[in-house]
Amino acid sequence: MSWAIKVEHLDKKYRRGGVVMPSTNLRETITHVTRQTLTRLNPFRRSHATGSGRKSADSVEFWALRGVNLEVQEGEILGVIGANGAGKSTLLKIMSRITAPTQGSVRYRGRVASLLEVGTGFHRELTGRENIFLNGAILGMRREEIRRKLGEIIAFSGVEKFIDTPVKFYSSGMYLRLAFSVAAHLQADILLVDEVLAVGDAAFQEKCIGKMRDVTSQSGRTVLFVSHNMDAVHKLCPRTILISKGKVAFDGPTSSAIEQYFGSSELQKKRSLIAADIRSGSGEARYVEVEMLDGKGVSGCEYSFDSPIRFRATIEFSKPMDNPTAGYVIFSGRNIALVDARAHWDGFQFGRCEGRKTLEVVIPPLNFYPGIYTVQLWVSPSPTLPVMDEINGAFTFRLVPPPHIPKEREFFDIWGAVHVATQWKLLS
Amino acid sequence: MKLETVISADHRIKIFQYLADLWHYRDLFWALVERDVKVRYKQTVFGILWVIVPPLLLTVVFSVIFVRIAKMSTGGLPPPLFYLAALIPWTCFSNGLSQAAGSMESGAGLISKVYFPRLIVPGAMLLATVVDFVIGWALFNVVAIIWTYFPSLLVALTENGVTEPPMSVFWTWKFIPFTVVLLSLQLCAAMGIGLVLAVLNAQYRDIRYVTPFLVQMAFWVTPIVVPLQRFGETRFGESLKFLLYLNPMAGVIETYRGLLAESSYIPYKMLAANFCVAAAFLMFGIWFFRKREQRLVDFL
Repeated sequence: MSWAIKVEHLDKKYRRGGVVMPSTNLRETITHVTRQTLTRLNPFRRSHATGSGRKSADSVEFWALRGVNLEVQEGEILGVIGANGAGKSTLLKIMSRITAPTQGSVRYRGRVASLLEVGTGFHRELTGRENIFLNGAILGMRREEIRRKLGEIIAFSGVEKFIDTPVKFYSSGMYLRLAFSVAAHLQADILLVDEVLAVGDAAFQEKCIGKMRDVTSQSGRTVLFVSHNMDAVHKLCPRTILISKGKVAFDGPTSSAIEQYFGSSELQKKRSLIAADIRSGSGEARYVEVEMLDGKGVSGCEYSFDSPIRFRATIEFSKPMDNPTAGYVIFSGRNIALVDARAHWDGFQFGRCEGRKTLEVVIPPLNFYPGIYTVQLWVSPSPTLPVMDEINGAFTFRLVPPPHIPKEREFFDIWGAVHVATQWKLLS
Repeated sequence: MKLETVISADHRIKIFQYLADLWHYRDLFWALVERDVKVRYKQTVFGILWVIVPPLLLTVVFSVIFVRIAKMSTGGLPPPLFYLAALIPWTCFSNGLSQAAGSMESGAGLISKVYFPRLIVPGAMLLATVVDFVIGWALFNVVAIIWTYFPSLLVALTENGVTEPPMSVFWTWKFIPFTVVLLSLQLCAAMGIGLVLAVLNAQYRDIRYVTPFLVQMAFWVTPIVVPLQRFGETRFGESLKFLLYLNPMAGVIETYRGLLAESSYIPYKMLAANFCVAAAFLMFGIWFFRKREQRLVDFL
């Protein structure tokens, strides 16, 4: 066996301005360049004078990846996990040639296809069939190749009836099915996948995971699978790397990697959400920090399932507003939304908000089966308006069995999802 | 042995690798052209009419305001043909240029998720505008042919004073080869300028506001409304004429108009200069684009 992907000393530096606020100001650049030129032309300049303008620029630079080394064997499925903003997506973006590294190199053998999103380039006005060709071309498939597989793609998607209808009339489920079918038929030696299973219904997710596994074991394709979905990672990948603060913090068997993820300081009780990457919304208010309280275990993110969960989230309002609302959604390891809580449903009034506000939330005992649960946070100006900020995977916690449940009791998800403390009585 | 690819911090992908990539993604190029063409007039009532109605209406307005009211000369050409010959290539040029300039922003969804040579996006957008051009150009040819061979159909127009009675033969077969040459000239220029603006727009959204303004300015310094001769009659005539040598669209429009005239006059010197300028734009554009291409996504 030989390697398929080899990553050596990979570094990626971002300027914070380029990430948080995408459009740099032309005026600033002009002033900067002018000042620099003037200083350079100034015959009386002191030797350190030029450096002063640069100093402030350096302080907003940060390393999204620092010295990453990795080798993936041919035919291997490698999982990549890590907290929101740890550098997983940056790694994948460099590997799929979307952005260039600052230093270091990536080498691979064979044809690479990356799937950072399903349905990239889908156009609402085009029909399903037209979108298959468009999306296929975007993923790097040849027209001939798509034509050959067209029947198979349509059959896998299960939207045969609507294949000549513009996709804007599709339900979101149909849309995803179609998008994933194209991707699933992508012929490549190396496949880079990011969070694509974060959406879609459970049954289809299972089908996709199955399809990906088939494809890999049959054709010896190498897969790099990035996900927040620990369950999917566990099912698919024998080996997993844990990325933390731009470095490979662990590389080994998946179960150990997940253990490490929850056990280490990786999941600090208190986390900054400023660099969270999977977020959307207008940005008029943003979550900046979240802190887990009262947890047990090393990281404080572990709870026994019969105990309440408390967290504090700090929201920064960029302008004053009256009575916004917020909420959270808890997702299972299979990425099924289980709890949808909204402040206004519980009769909570925010009142007037401006600047930073810290919200404390107490979730009563969930009694969910032991496992890993992910929380999405959102905040919106009112119950009916679009969100100002929404972060998928804002934080993750693990539920463990409480001490009074005997150790031999096993919690298998095929038998249930919720532990119900039931009253039992023998009547005769 | 499988093909080995190396990604490194090196700014630029080697030229051969780049050309190979362009070739590999040729299907994507056509798919994007197809998408742009298909989508453009979807869910519009008048559809393809949107290509020909605006230049036609502008032609009428210009004929009335500049010829009837301002008494501007059209160099012996019937005003409708005089203006159509300029407006149709100009519309294609300005649309292509604006779209190419905004291409990194409008294509951000693709660019931030998939790798392909980024040059494909503005290229495909530009080629999609050629479809509009071909339709507009067919219309122009029909009008010119009517004027040339069926002047009796224009009696109504003449009586209403929109135009002079037709005088001579206007349409020649030379239009066909010249159109190919002139179209490639204007596409080179639009691509070159568009690429530079596209890269700048990725980082500085100011360009979004600069582009329409730039196009508007260029409209007036190109002999569209005012015939070329009039540029030479002013006090700075000679220097203005020199500037027109740097403006690729000046040569394009002058040649179309020259072909229409009875003498079939072709401004070869100006065309040659324009070709050099357009080629320089294109080469600079591609060089500039390639230099920044890999970092683009960090700003989008």
